[in-house]
Amino acid sequence: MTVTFWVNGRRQAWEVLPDEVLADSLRSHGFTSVKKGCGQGACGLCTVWVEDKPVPSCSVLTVRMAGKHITTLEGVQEEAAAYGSLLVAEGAEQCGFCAPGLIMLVLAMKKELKDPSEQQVREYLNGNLCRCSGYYGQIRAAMNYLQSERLG
Amino acid sequence: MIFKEYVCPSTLAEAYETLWSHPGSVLLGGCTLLRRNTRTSPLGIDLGGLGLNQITKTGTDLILGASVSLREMETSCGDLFDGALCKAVSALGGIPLRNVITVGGTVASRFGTSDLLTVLLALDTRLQFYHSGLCTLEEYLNMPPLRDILTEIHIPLGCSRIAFQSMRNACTDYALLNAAAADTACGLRIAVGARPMAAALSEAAADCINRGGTPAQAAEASAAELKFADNHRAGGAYRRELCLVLVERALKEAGI
Amino acid sequence: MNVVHQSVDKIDGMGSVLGRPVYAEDLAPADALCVKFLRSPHAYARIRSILKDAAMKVPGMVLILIHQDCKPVLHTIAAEAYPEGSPYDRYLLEDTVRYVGDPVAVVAGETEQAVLEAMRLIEVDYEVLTPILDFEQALDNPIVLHQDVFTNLPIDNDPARNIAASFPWTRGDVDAELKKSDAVVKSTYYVQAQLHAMTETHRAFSYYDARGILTIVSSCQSPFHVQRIVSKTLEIPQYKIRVIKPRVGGAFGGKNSTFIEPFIAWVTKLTGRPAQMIFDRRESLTCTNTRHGMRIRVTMGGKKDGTINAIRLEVLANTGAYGEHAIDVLAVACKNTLPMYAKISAVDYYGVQVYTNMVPGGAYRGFGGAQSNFAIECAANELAHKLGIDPIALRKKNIIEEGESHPFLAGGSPAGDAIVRSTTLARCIDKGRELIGWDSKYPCRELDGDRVRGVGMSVAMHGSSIGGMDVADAEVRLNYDGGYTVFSGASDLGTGAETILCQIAAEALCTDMDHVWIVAADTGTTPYDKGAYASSSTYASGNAVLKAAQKLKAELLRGAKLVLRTEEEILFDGRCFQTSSGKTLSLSEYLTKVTYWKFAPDYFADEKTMPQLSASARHGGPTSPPPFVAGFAEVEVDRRTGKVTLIDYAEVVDCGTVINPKLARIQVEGGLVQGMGYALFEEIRYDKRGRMLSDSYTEYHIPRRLDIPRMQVAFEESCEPTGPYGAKSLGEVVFHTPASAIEEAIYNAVGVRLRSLPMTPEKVLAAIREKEGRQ
Repeated sequence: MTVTFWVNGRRQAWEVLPDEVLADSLRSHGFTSVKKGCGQGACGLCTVWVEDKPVPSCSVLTVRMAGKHITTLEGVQEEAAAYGSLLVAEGAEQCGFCAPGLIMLVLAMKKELKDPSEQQVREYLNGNLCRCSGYYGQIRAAMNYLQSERLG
Repeated sequence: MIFKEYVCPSTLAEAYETLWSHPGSVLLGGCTLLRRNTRTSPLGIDLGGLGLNQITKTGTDLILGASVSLREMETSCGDLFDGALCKAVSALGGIPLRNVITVGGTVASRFGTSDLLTVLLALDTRLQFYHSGLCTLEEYLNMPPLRDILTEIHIPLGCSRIAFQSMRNACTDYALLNAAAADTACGLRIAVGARPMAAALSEAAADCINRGGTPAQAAEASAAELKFADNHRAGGAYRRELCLVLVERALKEAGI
Repeated sequence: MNVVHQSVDKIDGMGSVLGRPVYAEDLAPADALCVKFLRSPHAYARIRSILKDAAMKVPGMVLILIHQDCKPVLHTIAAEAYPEGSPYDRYLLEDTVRYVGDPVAVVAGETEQAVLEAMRLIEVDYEVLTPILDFEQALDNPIVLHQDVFTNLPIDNDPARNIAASFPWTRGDVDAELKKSDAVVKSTYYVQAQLHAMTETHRAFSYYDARGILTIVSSCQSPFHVQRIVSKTLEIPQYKIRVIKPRVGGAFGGKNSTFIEPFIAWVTKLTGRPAQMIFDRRESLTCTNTRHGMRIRVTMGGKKDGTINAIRLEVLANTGAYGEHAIDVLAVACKNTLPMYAKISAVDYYGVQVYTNMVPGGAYRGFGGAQSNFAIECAANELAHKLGIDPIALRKKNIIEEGESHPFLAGGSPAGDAIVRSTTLARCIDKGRELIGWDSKYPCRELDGDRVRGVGMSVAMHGSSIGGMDVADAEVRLNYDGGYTVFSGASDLGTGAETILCQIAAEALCTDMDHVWIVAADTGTTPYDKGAYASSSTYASGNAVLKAAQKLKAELLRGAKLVLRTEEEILFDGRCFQTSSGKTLSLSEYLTKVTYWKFAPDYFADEKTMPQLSASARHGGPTSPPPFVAGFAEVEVDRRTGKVTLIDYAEVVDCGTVINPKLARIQVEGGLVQGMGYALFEEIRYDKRGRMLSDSYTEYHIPRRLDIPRMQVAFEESCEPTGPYGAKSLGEVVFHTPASAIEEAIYNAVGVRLRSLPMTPEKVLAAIREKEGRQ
């Protein structure tokens, strides 16, 4: 079936199978920033935004996206670089595989939470796994990012 | 393949009729559990077009539409019921996942390890099904499989205090045991779940408190009354020990 | 130092945070065949027949390969240097399957859908056999798992007894020494298997390039070993195979066996088509390699004054269905742990790996050393209590010091034992003690009736590459554009190895990171390197790059002298040459003059011209200098539920010179979190029929942000004379301490010893109850 929606502000009409998940549709149409880690929604690596809300794209049916606005990392490069460069500054970008999903979640967190404490940041990001970095480098970068955004 | 064909009905009547006229069809709520099915379903019936995503407060109840996401519930109803609804879902994966998991799907699937079921049971929750009508959560938990569409979850607002306790190893692990103690409009309700069986009320614990017993004594009564079993995550004996602790702590936290 | 010892950004960092397509799946050709394994549902079975006709009729199906289709070439899938220590006990496909998940058929089709549908239609008739599912029952069990096994080296492989390998090593007379001990600890520990659970599952793709070279792009750790194994199993000359490592999404040892490459190469060889295999999460967790689970018996004797005078270690390890990495894990469990306590007069080690019908063990960060370290450190803590000595004082009294030797240290020879040339472990211990607040917290503090906090500590060592085996070659080239290219076979798995190698080259060549580029991990273009395992990238590959860069610099100075027509001493600051009499020449001028033929007659009467400068060097040798760490844990134990909550963790590290402080810090934090998972959360479960139930992130719990405590990381640098700019390794040693430090902290909190990992709440509560019952 054909589904029409927006990806990163551009209108798309894709031919998809009824039970196809958004992560697969996005990857097969060139949005390779989307990573699949588990296929179950348990790792958060495939996080994208649907109507600005972070969702696990491996657990979302593409057919349900009709008329919706989807955002991937490819569509928020400037903001991704803002947090991403702080991540790199901490040395916390290691294998990089969890980075796109994490960044989408951090950017969503910045919109949803006002002035979160470090504990609140840990809670918000808890669903996204990382096996390399031990997490604290990512959290330090997130606190720096929120601080720098506050200062404008 | 998970399902071969897809429809998105615009009325409940249509959805229900499709469900019954297509054996093996699956309802598409949050869709996160579909991959557990080993057989391909012929048809997926999307509930997304039915407008079941409203959250309303009447004079007596909080009514959650079945398609309300756990995250929506967390953020809109966080201050109700002493935050118990939030606590009950905070161990479920992460925020992205809770943006797609629905309350209806969580309740309808009746998983033994569900924290939310234990809280909802303690809160004397009613379920509205399209065809079968209203029933209590307790009734639903003891029913045989029901081929119907859950439309609303009604939680009475007359609860003065509630506390929720759970025990898990890693933070997003399945609960090894959970317990909720609530002082509701129709009396004390103490529920224990993840036994590993799903939540059940302990009448003995409520009786004990009503007759002036202490939280520790009520916990002992619940541990004696309820059944616990082994599974690959923990032993039944350990679960019974946990029951003694979690029920007592829930009662104390709720000031009961 | 200007570049080394600086927290330089990872050279590939921004690429992945911006989502660039750099991983294997991103690079695969769009028309690559989808290849999957049909896997055994039985733990032990013989295949009577496989019917594939119905499956082949599925539209889009291309090929199904079964055991009758493959030439039976015995091999090991262990990606390690030739001649491998691992026994050759595998065929590509066989008529026998030995664990739930063992491949039965290779299924290739145009789409994933076609392949999945075809797999449902393949009919396999199994003769189900009784499996061995308990490694303590495997030795001399009448059920035997292997018949055909070939070994390159004497590893005591004895399939009739289900022994994959054994490793004995003794010095002195332990029993005689134990008689002189004032206290003896004798304990048995069970350290479980562990799953790498890296976020990018195992995957690779293959294709024929335009010249007909079979090219494999694999998320792997050792492209050269992959090349050799594919060559052997498919009988294709190595020089007709090229293996490239792209960006890898995590490995930790888990991608150091050839689970995929020979099979997709086989499909490409038969069809001429590109082929790709991607393991799903379940396969990655349950059908690859795990950490070796072990039972370890420790006997440790000590004197009143705190000296440890004898240690016996008996290791029974579960290698599972196949023996890849079995012998080396046993060797590391001995050689990378026992030298810690050097005052010892008698040491006895015996390790044996047994075959079982369980998921095969393999390489995982720590590689046997992590497991034996848990047993030894728990025993050392127990011994301290028995002797009435502070556990910190016990360590400081016994740990090996600079200049001390030990018979098990790598680098020894008949002429003499190897010595430790760099260690600051005593300072690490002091620093860690301060960071955790040991003095005000030891042994425990009550919070309320239900909860109590305790502290515990342990130490660990490892190696830096494998002495007497590891080889790394490197080439550094000066380009006409003024930049340098480093060619190295080293495999960066995300840790920043490529960045480290560029830092080393930049330092040696007096330039900056901007001027150094690296080409790595490609058998077609880079020199040989053993690959990323055994903590060798900084030490071995780094040494090779350093030597090559130094050679290049010497050649460059010689060339500059020719151009300047001088015999004077010449200095180079990275941009400019200067003679003692003040003649100068910039690097860019030099390059112009040597690159273009027009200038040659002016300068090169004898030599006609200078070739582009390039220098090669090799690192190989007996040394493997140990890094050292001291770990301190603070835990909170709920006496009534057994729940252990991590409150604080301090780790102080001696890895020699810290080449890149921020990358090093992340290595420590990452390693500690994996170690905490091993200690408390990562439980592997099997069902009664031998199927691993821990097959998803919801069944197998790697630590998340809310599971881990505050972590304090510090470095106490030593200077290792054999390491590049004084560096030693870091990658594995940082895993070791949490399990034993946490175990001791629990003991100090509630007085119970946990001797099996993970230390789950149920086990803790059972131990508390048992202690109460005894009182």
